[in-house]
Amino acid sequence: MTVRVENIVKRFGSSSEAAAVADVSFDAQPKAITTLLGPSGSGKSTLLRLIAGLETPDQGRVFIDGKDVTALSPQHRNVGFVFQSYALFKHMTVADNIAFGMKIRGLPKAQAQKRVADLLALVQLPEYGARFPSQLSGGQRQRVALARALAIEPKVLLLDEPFGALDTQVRLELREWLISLHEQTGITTILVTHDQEEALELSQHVVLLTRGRVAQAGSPHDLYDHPADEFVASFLGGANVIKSRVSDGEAKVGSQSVRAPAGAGEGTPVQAFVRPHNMRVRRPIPARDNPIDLGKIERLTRVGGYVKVYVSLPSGESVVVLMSKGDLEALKVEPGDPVAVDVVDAKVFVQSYSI
Amino acid sequence: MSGIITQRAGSAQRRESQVGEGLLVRVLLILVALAFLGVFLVAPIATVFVAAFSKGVGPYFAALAQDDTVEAIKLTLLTAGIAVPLNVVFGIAAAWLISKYDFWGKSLLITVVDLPFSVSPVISGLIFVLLFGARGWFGPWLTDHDVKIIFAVPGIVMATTFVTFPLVARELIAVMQAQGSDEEEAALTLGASGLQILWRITLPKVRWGLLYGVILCNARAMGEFGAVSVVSGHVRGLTNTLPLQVEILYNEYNFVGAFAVASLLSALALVTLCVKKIAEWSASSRQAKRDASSRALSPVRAAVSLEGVVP
Repeated sequence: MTVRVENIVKRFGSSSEAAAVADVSFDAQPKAITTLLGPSGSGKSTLLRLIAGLETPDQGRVFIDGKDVTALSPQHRNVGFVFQSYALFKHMTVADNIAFGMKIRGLPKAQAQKRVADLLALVQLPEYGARFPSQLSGGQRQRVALARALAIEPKVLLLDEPFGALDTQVRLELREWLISLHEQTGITTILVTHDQEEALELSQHVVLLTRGRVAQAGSPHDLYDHPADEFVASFLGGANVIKSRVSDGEAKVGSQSVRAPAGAGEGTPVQAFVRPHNMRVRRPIPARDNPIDLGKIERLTRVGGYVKVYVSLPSGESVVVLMSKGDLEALKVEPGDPVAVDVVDAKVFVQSYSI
Repeated sequence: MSGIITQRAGSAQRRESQVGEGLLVRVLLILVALAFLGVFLVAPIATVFVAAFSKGVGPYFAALAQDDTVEAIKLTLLTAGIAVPLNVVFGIAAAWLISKYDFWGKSLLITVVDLPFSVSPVISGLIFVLLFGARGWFGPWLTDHDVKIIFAVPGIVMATTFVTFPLVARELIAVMQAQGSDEEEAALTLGASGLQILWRITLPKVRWGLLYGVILCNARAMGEFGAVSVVSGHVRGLTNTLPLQVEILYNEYNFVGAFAVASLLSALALVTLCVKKIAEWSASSRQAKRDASSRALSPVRAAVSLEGVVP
């Protein structure tokens, strides 16, 4: 039950324009949730529609279950597709919506009715069969759309920003619910989202896309802990960017020195990506810290049990440090105080000249 | 769709009391509007009925029962009965093609669909005379095979079909483009074929737009004068439709007869408007019913919408 995409290229409009999807290959693991993550315009939705057959690739091939389906119409691919806009049939009841695919397949009526009831129970809307989509809330509509997609017993479930049109509260609830639904059904799922938190929480495998290409693919932790390049580092988890230059094989980040990437010559401009929780502020130690290396606290913002400390560095750059409330209180610092910034972990990349 | 329009009109009314002009200006504006309506709409239509019944009810029905007039009614019904279904089939096909697919020459097709609207009806009639008339392109061939198109019923049907060509298509293109293709794509992934999608998804979705298009198309098909006049040849009892019959009777100073037939066409217009109103009303009341029941389902939303109403 695996999906394989090989060297897919898709262009819209004239060939001079940049391809929406430019030579993308990836595998979706069977029985897992794979996320296609990326900013808008990265080609993630187009890629999903290519897998469903709603778009035709200019080059490359799509395999479902080991079978080449590139030339197959969506009608015969047997995939469940869920749209951001729900795309429920407005003139049909919820039950008729769910039964649609089974009716098309000529399933006996009694059998279809039983399955509709089962699916309504699965999506926790058992009493809603006779209602029309316009009588449901957004979250309920999306659950009906999922039931409708599952009704045809698809080989893969394709979700195109399924929670994108919902408010935060409902989105978080549905995220939890989708995880448990996936545990129950075990269906191979590919999810498109621009929300990195959604991707990190929901999926076992993340394909991060940018400008129609795969930036990095792997487990969520892999991408988070070992970003392949600056884009991955800055897109996932949010990071402070500190510019520096290589000197003696090291780059200076705050008051610390971090090993420079291999092959970066003396004086090469580099960028260090540091996650807010990978930095600490402390009171300066006069004997050790050079005063010109010290930063200054600009602002303290409390977020639940944590405090965001905004520090301006001597270079003029500004960084955010995330510390627990207790740790910070122990320091007894106020906005305006000079502090040293220690870097626990940083990723240093040679600065690309395009930026 | 009309439900939304009604709602907007409702909120505009509520706002009027705060934003509106003084009493004098309002009364003046209303009077101007009423006077305009009276002079240009109500008076002409009223004249038709007054003139038709000027000699009483008996002569009115006698005029309608004349053989030529009865034949004209039959021919008009036949013409509309052929032209409207043709344009419904074409309109659905064209709207489906234009709103669901991207292809080379699409904008050209949209322009061509609108062409009959931008051409004078007389020219539309002449086109067919030039094509099928005795000296036209196909004239000699038609004469050889003893087929009569011009100055006969086929010509009238063709000219009417041509003139009413855009009405259903335009209505459907607008509705289909506004609704998008998400539902069709969903049906496609669920395994439906193109025809199944058309029958089970697209047509139910656009049914009110389709009905409206059919009503307009029918009204125009029955009332068309210019194009039909050119191709008909005005043969009494054979190639005269209702509008042509009105002209002939009027030119013969048979005013009661002319206005009696005209009153039929006016009545058709009024019936058309009523059917259209009922179609819109039933569409919006269904929507309102659904809204009402969904509001009953969710007390929170009901409270929110109340907030909007109470100033």
